[in-house]
Amino acid sequence: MLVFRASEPRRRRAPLAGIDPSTQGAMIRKAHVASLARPLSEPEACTDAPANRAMDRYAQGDDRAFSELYDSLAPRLFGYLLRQTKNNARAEDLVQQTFLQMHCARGRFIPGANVVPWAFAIARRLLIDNVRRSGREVSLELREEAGAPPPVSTAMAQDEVVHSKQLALSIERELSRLPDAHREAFELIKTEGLTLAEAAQVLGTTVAAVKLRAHRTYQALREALGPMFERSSQ
Amino acid sequence: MKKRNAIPPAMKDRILAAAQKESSPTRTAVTLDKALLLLTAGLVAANVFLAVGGVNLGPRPLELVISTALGRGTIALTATWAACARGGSMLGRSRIWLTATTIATPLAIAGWMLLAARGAPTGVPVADWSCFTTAVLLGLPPLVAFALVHHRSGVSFPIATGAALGAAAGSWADFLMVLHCPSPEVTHRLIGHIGPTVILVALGAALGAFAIRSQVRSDYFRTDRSSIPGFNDAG
Repeated sequence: MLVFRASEPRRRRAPLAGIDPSTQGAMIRKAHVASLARPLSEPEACTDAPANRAMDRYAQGDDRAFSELYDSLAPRLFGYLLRQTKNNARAEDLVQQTFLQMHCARGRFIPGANVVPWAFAIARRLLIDNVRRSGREVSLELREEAGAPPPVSTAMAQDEVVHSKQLALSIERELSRLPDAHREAFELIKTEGLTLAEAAQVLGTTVAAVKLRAHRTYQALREALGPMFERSSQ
Repeated sequence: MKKRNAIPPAMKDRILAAAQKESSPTRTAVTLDKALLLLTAGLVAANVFLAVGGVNLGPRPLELVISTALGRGTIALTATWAACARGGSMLGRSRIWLTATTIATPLAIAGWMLLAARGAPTGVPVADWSCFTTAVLLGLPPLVAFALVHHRSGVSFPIATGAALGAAAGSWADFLMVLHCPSPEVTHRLIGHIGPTVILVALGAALGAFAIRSQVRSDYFRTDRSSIPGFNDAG
């Protein structure tokens, strides 16, 4: 039985120092797939404290803190927006707008508040608005189909690379079939590393609802992918 | 070959340049603005209160008026805290919290009123519509000030936030009506003193939908960005 905790600590993204760059892509993909396949109760470690401190300093008028804030948040925001839009240019544009909105609202930042859910909520609103205004649905094309070359691994066994790639594509395909609300809740928790409480804030719903959506997504993935998914979660 | 999911290094420079170009107030300036706004609203409400006659004890004993005003003032302060404070989150309180504030505030006022009505002496009858209009006028300045404080604040539930702010403004109107209206009649107080809170809650919800809700637009910075070299050639 899966156990969800609102105060679940988050994953730390350590740099892959000393590893052949050509291997990194496949390793990251494999780690990402494994993290998606992992039950939601597993502890992960990450902290938003540097971003919170930077935003707090920026709100007080320290302009240099904006650069630190960007370094802390931009990769996560860009990853989230890229996954949602499947379009580099749109994701970049939305990241820029998110930071500019945060800049304009810096005086309202509450001391001690967590900047991450706020930033994601702004990014999500911009994304929704962007989709509405453009009058078309966010493209659900897979990243590889859009022309990006698959990363080549020399260190990992070829069958592992193939399995990892197939599973990543299958997960992405299955996720795209799920309701947006379920997929989004699952991705915010599993991919972006937000806690249940933070994801609930971003999505404007309750922790229980987020928990339910993420659990259903997890169950759907497990049912759809079966042994392939189970193998990665081990 | 360019990596598809990599952030372009130039983006940081573009964002920092755009931020430098677009001035934004610091927390100190925003806090000062909010304080001035709330003070102005208080002064406007006080002027309306004095214009309609100010404090009017009527046949009521002073102790009763003071104790009632203290109780209602406490309710108003609590409602204001519950509606205005964001609970340490930039995205505001939960919908349950805000809805509870909206419902509990008039109920708490009515409960206090019914308890205090037992020991109240009979007084002069006052027209319901007169107190109703006065209470709405007294509640409008704080409601507008609360809404402006939350203007485009990006809270998750703007309509629920606006409704809760309306309830808080209504509780301040009721506080002033306790000092102003000597009528002990429960029906009159329910219609003339608490009834306006319902109107203010509805107005607050409408303000929430239009003034508190974040107006996020994809092309919000389009004009300013066009003048920044290289800003629009991302990707």
